[in-house]
Amino acid sequence: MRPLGLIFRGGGKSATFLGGLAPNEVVGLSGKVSTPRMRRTLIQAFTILAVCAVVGPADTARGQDRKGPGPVVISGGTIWTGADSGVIDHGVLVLRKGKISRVGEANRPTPPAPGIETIDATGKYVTPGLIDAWTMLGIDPGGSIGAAASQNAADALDVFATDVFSDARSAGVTSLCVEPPAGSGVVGTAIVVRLADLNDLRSTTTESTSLVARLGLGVRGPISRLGEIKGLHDAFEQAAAYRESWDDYREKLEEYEKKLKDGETVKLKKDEEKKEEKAAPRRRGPAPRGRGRRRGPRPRPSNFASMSDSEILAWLADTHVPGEDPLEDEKHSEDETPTAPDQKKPEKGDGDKKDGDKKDKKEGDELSKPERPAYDADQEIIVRALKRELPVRFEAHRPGDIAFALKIIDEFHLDATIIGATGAYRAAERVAEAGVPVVFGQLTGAGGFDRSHTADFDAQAPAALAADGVSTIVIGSGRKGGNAGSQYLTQNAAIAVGRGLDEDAAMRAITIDAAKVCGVADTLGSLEKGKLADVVIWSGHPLAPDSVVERVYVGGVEVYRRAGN
Amino acid sequence: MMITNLANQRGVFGVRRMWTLALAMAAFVTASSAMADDATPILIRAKKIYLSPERVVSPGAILVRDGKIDRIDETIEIADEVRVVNLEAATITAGLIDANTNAGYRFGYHDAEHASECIPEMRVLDTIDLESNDFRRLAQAGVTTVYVSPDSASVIGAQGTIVRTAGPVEARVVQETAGVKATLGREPIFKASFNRTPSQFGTSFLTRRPTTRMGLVWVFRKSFHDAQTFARGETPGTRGEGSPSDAAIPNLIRILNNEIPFRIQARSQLDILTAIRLSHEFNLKFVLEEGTDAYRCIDELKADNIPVIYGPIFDYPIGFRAGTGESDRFRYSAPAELVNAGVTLALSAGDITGEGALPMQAGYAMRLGLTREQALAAVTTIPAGLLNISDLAGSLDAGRAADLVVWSGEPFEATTRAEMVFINGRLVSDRTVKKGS
Amino acid sequence: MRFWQRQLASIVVVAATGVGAAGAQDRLAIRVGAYLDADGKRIENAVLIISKGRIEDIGSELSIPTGVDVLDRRDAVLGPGLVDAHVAMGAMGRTRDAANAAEPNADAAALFNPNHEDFARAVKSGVTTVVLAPSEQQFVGGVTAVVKTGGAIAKRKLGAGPLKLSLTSSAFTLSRTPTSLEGAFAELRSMIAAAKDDTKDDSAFAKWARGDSAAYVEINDDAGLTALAEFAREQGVRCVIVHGNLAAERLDASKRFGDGFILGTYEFSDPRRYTRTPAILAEAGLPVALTSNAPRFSTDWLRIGAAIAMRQGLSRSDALKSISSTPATIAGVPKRVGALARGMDADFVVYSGDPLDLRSRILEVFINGERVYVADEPPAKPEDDDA
Repeated sequence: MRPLGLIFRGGGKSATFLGGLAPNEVVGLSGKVSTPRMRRTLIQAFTILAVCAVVGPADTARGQDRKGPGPVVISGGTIWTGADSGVIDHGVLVLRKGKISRVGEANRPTPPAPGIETIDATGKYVTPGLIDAWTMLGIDPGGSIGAAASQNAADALDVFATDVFSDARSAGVTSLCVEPPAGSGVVGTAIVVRLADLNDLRSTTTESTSLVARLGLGVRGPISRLGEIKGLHDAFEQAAAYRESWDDYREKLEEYEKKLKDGETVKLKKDEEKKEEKAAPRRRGPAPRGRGRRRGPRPRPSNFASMSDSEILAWLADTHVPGEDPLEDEKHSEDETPTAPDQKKPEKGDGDKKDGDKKDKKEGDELSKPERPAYDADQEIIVRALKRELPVRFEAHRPGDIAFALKIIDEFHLDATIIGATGAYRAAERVAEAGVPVVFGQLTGAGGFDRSHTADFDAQAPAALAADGVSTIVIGSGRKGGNAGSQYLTQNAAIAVGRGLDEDAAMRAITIDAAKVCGVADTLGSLEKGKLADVVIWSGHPLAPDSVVERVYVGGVEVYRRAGN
Repeated sequence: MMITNLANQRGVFGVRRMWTLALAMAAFVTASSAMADDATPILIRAKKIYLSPERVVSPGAILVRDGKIDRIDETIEIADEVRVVNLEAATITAGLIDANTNAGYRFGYHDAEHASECIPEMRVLDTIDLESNDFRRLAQAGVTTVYVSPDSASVIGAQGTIVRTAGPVEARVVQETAGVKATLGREPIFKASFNRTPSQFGTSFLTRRPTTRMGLVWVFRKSFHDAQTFARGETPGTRGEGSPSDAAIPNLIRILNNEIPFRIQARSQLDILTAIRLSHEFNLKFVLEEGTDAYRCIDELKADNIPVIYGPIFDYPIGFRAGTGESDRFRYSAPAELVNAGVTLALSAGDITGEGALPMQAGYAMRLGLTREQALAAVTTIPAGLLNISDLAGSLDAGRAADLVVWSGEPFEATTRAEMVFINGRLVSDRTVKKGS
Repeated sequence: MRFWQRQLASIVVVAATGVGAAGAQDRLAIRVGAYLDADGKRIENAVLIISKGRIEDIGSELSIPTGVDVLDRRDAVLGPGLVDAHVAMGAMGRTRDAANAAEPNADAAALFNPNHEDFARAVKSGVTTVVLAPSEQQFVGGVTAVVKTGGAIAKRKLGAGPLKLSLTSSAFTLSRTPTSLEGAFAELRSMIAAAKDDTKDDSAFAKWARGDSAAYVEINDDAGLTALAEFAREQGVRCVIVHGNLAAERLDASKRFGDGFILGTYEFSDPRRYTRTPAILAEAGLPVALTSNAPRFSTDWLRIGAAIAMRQGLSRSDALKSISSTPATIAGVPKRVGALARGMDADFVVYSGDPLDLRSRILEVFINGERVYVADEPPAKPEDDDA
């Protein structure tokens, strides 16, 4: 899994939002980003938000300059760290340069120093910023007809719904894992949104962090459960076949190129090499990142001959349309860059093919160039899941659906999480054996007329799963939370405690364990030295009924302060 | 380069937008804060004060104390502590009156009764939301008093009401029952739900007259005929399908006795002439609403001295007006033609509740013939007279509760806006105080 | 299935060792860690003495009479049985009259089916009394019924509640009269006038028309609130607003409904615009009751709704009252249910902690002194030997 935490670039501008995308995503989504229209929208947005800042909404970033916030010392409170240090009764927490620089016992009072904000948190609770691991906050709820894996929740995220996000943040929630809206099957990819500067939410929004697959929701698509299950299985099976076809193609292409280079004389030797290669294990691990995309306006290539290779490739990455080959007839120098097999990602296939085509014409007919498989953006995403680069979030509620999800996870060796899991307590042992984390939504009963996928509901489910050995239990606000659910996260977790879940486990379920399933545990979710300074100060225990959020820090910047504090 | 250009362009829009937003917020903030210190008297100095369209004080100063107009004079100098507002270019007029709006009233099944064609016992006041944004927008545009008209889905509709557009809810209603409206034309036939002829699908209360203009006139006649009969102490020969309900009769009789003001909405020449003919039959006094084709019936209107609440003026008909085809012969010059012919004319923005609707209507009318004074009369004194509230609104006089608008310049110009609005002694909108001062 | 095996085992254990309920005996004393009094104040180390289904005495320094069975719940906190102010349990979806929108004499008690599963669900949520209300699709729906959710069937009906009217858009259709708010008010005027003329009429509608009692009036959020305020003033009638979830935005009009508001359902998906309403109305001194709108929503939402409203500023005391004594008062049974006090029905809930804290677990529910629900044992902690 890629270290997603690195993607949170503090202070970045919206224009660079997709700057860190993997090359295949750039190809798959090109045309959607960085168009003049989007720039206009963003600039317009900035203007509006600037006005809002001037006129004064309740919580805006205070005292922050671009170099980073000043140091903050929070001392005297009960610190729930979510890490090895557990709960520190009389603790001190130091935030510096957007990160946590010290967590520990407050042995001596912190002397006030100029430029250091000192907060006396005696009698209060200090926790990591909460993470809502399952939400659709800020997402246009419109149905997604013809859900496809290449859909990204970021494209539906309404970054201008600042009141929605600020409501969540003022309830202590600082990061969200936002899923694509309605749909069944493989519906797209989820993102993690860190609620830092609401005026520039894009800069703290990750790229796709996980693939979302849903089962048994029956919103649209196949009308029978059997058809739905088959459809989901097919999606992964087809992606596996797609991956196979590309691997195959690459091997053949390599062979073909070698043949071209060495001629028929080395044929025998090459066959042996090929056998060895086949025996070697399939490459795993993170996909290499493409070179950084050029900033600013891109010249329209009137003449490829005048461009360097890297420029041509960069241009291609932006304008490539699957199935077309813009360089078909263009002259192209021999020393093509991608030679290492690792870099032969599908999107680079264009370049490969160019070489092939050109040589085809030169060398004559005794060699046949392997046929390049068609590019498919949806399959590309699922292939990433098959390579375990992209975790899969399986939403399933009924025990039978969960069992089937576990079967797919096992069959395709996926890095997966079960989402929803209403009826998971009936299949608790299997979930525990599979070792998958489980994310619950709202822990409240359905009405008497609910015959839907949540009919199996029992608020004891988190406690029951924990008892049966499921190690990572997470509580989110879920699909029923709609556009306002995140602000009730602590109360939802309190219900789990009321039904038998350990209080510490409930706290972990909305902090560090949530960070784990969102893939951001290396930077968020607990109060540990070096992690990002997302901190909440509560008037009392976060799960208590009359506790309120007093202050919220994101990246060391105070983003919310309760009136009168 | 392209990006920079775009940024600049958008920057310009952005700045404008920012100002609009900031101003709107400032207005909102100050409006509420200004209301808090009603106790401080306010002295406003302006270029011109229209006491009524005929009586002008220029330059003018007006002192509002304890919600009342204390003095109006060319210059006022006072010693005690007052808030002084000096607006050199400003004009002060009485608060505007729209004699035919649908503010705060949502049309549809759930608000306008469709069970009967004759419902003069029902009241639009029961349905309107006095805290609707419609009223807020009207107040900010300088419209201080409105007549809220019922839906036009019934031949003889519900009772309209007169309300102020801002102020505490309990002091908003000026007159609960201020008129009953009859509608001629296609609306009672088609609006909201179609009246039906009997069919194999069975019957309901929608299986009824009118399904044609003839049927409509029949319902009108039947209603007043029955009422007249009851008024004579007799019982009509046929009571049943199409007859007015027992609850409707007393109010129909009151209309016949001119105890409730009666209005007829008619747009086309045909319907206006029908209205006049029916008024002769039952000896009814009425005010013509909308009257798109009224310029074609000037002689008839003059002969009976029928006032017209004209409007809205629009570029081309939309919505139901377009659907009925009754507004196709619309003319911008109609208000001027009617006024110059001597017809009593009030202007109305009707169901257009957007900001500046009524001032804009006056501006349109001025563009094609009305003088400023005529236009001012058509939105102040004349509607006040038609609504019988001349002693409350429509003109300015010392001793009255302040119900006035301070315009940034000459009223009804496109560039003029309402700087301050007083309604019933309360300052409800004030754009003169900028944020932070 | 270890979890379920344990569950089963625990149920068997509870059944075997359970103390006999007071319903079978005359008197029973319960010693508790604390209980919440009518104002939501926590009284520590208390004793509750039940006699014939009523609370004979409750207090902190009570001595237990000899010969009385004692139930030891010293680690638990007692709260009043919750009262849901407006439900349609057991009758959902079958309460609309196709021909008549106004049925002032209809009685919701006629639809009461004590064996319906909805009531069993309510008991599990700690809800012991509910007000069964006619459908919002009936413009004049009839008389509500106050019933208990469990216990002896003969003792379930507490009596008739207030009259119920509905001015929501779903009350008006084009298939019967009135079709509109306008028409509804006109019809009400004539009905009220007729009822006032007939002074001998003692029906619920007549009592309401004469201003002797308040009626439940259901509206859509805020629409119609100002018009209704004006109508109520004119006719001198009293209204309890049901579902005025945006009433805080019409505070001037809202203040004219001193008989109270029934708000909810508050869910984990409601924007603050809705959930802050109870706090604002309570601040203005108006009685606020909450409802779960069961069975459309789970009765769990009643207690959760109080917790949600608390986070938006509703005081502890008002939060407790909004789900106990206030709905009981509005429904006309303040002397029977809604609080733990001498002489009241022995309806109470035993929690593992503070009743308003969602972390607290409902352990037992008593109605008329009879234990009607015992919670399963919570799932055990993971066993170490697994590792």
